[in-house]
Amino acid sequence: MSQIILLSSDNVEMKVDKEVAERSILIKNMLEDVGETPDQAIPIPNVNEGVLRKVIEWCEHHRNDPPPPADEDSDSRKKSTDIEEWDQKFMQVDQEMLFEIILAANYLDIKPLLDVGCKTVANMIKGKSPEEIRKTFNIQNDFTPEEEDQIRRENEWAEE
Amino acid sequence: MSLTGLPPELQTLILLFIPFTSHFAVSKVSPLWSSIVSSHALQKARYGPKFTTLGLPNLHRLLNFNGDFKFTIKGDKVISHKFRNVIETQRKELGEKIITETREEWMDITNHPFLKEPIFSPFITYLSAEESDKQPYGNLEDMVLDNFFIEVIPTHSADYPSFQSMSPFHWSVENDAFQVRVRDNATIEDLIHFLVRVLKVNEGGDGGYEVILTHLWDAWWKKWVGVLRARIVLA
Repeated sequence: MSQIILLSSDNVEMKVDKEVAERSILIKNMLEDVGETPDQAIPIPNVNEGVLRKVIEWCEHHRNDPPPPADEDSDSRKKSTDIEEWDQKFMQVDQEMLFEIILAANYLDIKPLLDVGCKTVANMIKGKSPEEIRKTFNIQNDFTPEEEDQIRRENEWAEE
Repeated sequence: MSLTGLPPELQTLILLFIPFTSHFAVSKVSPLWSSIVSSHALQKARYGPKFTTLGLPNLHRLLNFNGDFKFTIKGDKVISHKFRNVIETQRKELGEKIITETREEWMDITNHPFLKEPIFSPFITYLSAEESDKQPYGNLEDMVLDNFFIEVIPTHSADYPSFQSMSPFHWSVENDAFQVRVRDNATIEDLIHFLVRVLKVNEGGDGGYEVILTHLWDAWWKKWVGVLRARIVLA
């Protein structure tokens, strides 16, 4: 099986099966453009070693998955937040790594990984109050005083 | 890297996976999230499930839950709009099962932009008269209007026998006459104002009356129709 070398943003080379690397549509298109397996390392300038290793780990596990449908609105991409067990464990990382994986999946064009990342964050958001969401993700409340006043009026919770 | 450090298009993608019930809370986190929740991409998620088997407009989810939306009226004024929000308080793993504990809170959504959204998802392009004739169910607008009704049910405590004669009825937000059509672009706010006009509740305690809306399917005249039921209780 042919292998290629990926070069992370911090100049670390990683040998990967071509089939695994081609889970990334970006890399797949690059390889198709070149026409043959390159001898030189393919630079991945936006992804550091740690994140690239995680992305490769995900691609290794999902190497035999069918390619995702091209249609953005297809049923398989319906907005369910169900995540398979292996992916749930894979995503048990700190928030910084989680968002780096999302960024890398978007850059490398790996839609199924991007969906898993987004669903993981969505599951952390759903069922929380605005204040709990801000606390969970350390989000600054940057509403203007006028907007904040309006929010406060709207946000009077009345427990029954 | 933080969540708000992600590009807005990725934050939008994440919020696309948020269920409708969390849209209210999410819209109050930051101005950016508020604008994302109001955007067309997420607005689409606020309609459905389909209330007919055809590719027809869907009902706004605010009206599509079982009593999760209510408003309070006093005289001819609406004094509050509330949505039942379910907050996850704890997640426990019991063997292989994950148990989620929740608490319910009624969130005040008075003045929320969702109330200005259309009752139905924007109507799909009307077919020409020629094409319409070929459709097994006839004109699309007729189909929608023939499949959606409003029913006002007086409760024991409300005791408004006169409401009985109004139920069920086709409805309109354009005038008080029953058996007339809903406008294509009628909003949830229009519906509320219409109900207030229909109900004409001038009495009640200090708190006024609560109108609880529920949506259900019912078999009328040998076919299934969507019914929006307005139940009135003392607040």
